Amino acid sequence: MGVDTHLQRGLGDPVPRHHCFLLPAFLESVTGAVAGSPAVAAPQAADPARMGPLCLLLTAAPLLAQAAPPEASQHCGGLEYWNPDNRCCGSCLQRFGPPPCPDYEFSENCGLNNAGDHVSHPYKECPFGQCNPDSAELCRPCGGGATAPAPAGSRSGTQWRCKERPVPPKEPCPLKSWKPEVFSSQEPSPSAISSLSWTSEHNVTRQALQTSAQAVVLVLSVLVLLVTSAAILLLAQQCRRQAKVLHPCPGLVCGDTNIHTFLHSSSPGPLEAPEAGDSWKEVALVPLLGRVCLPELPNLASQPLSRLLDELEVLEELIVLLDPEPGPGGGMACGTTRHLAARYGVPAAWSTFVYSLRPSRSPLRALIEMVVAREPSASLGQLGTHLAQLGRADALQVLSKLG
Amino acid sequence: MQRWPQTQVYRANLGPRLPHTVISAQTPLLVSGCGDQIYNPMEQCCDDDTVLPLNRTKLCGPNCIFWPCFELCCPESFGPEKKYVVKLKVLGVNSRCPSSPISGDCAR
Repeated sequence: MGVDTHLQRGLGDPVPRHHCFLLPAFLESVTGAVAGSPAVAAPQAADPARMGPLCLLLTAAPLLAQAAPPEASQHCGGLEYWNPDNRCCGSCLQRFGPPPCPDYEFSENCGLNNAGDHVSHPYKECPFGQCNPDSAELCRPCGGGATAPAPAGSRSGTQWRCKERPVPPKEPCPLKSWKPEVFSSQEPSPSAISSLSWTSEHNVTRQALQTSAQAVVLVLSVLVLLVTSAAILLLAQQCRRQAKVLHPCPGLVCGDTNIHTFLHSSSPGPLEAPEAGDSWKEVALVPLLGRVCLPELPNLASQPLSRLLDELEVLEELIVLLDPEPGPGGGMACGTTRHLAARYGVPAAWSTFVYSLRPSRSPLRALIEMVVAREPSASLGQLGTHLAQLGRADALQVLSKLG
Repeated sequence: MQRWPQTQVYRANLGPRLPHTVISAQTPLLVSGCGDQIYNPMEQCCDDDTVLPLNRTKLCGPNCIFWPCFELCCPESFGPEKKYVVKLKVLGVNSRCPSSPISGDCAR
């Protein structure tokens, strides 16, 4: 039963007399207000035996007025929210940051109820006639008048204020049509006009300097590129020579898997050698020998991991290979997405959580997205190295399609 | 709906947010700091300077549940369509809604 239904019934239905007594308790349960707060303390003082329908209306009206919106916090000011675990009032600004879009302001309690649930949006549009061009917490009259008074907020004071925190930076406004920081009504200031002529002369000189600097940078870049290419070629040749010698894999985490498993395993499963010919054997081999290079996947090593999120077919194949976990009957117990996540330094608790999202959400995809968000420079080569260390030659083969 | 499986020995050291983590001298238990409290990241996390159990859930919008230890509730307040999106927290950094991957989409 929703809150509104509760409230409508409380006002409209022929309620037995004793409901007048119960109403405060009910409102407490709806709003989460604590006993003794202004919203609930007064009615408790009334004698329930005297309360009839009129009493109900008289009592309920101010209560409902205070409880509107029903989810608003009864503990904190309008620009604060109640933290039920720490039992303190936190600043909306310090939690959510300034309103990202102009002409928006914080909603009451930034949309949080007393249980910490997000019951409405943290920001709302300014009321008619009010503006907020500089992302203040509240809108003010558009003509540049005084700041609007805080919403009925400071109702219970700030007896338990949460620890101060730095205000997060303002997020970019997601509204495409908005032109931030530029307002048509703004005129250039006199100082800006006087500086225009100086700026144009200055720009000519600066352009000349920039041109010569660009030439120098270009020459240096070409030199660096040549030296790097030569070094990579030499390194690749060295890796190829080393690849001809078989070594046990030092980085494997799953039992006795070693390089021979990659090349000579006859059992089915993810560690089975793929039937892709000698060239593939080198693909599986080389990452095990060193973490420096993947000579057979030269393009892969330098490509961003985010590319995998665009290559849906390859990603799907990897999901099929890496997401499944051993069932009750046992089976492959290592080299899954969970182990890959551990290689990326992700807590096991996180892996457990994303596995609980299956089947609607792939743990591998979630992992890749999370790693890309955390570390935009993460590369496919790094993923290949992890897969090699986990003994997932089959996944490496799929990954090599991107090379 | 209970999505949280009762299992796993958590070997990793961290909750979703780790201001600082130390290893207890007497036991192998790892503890982390959260505001001015400490917590066990194997069972708890730090969200909004508050220690929460890993299986704590909260509402994101009227009818959508999210897990504050692992997810962010992102109310998309702007534009005509008001909706809520649950996103995965990005570990090791201060997660923000615009840059976090989507975990689920809540109906309006």
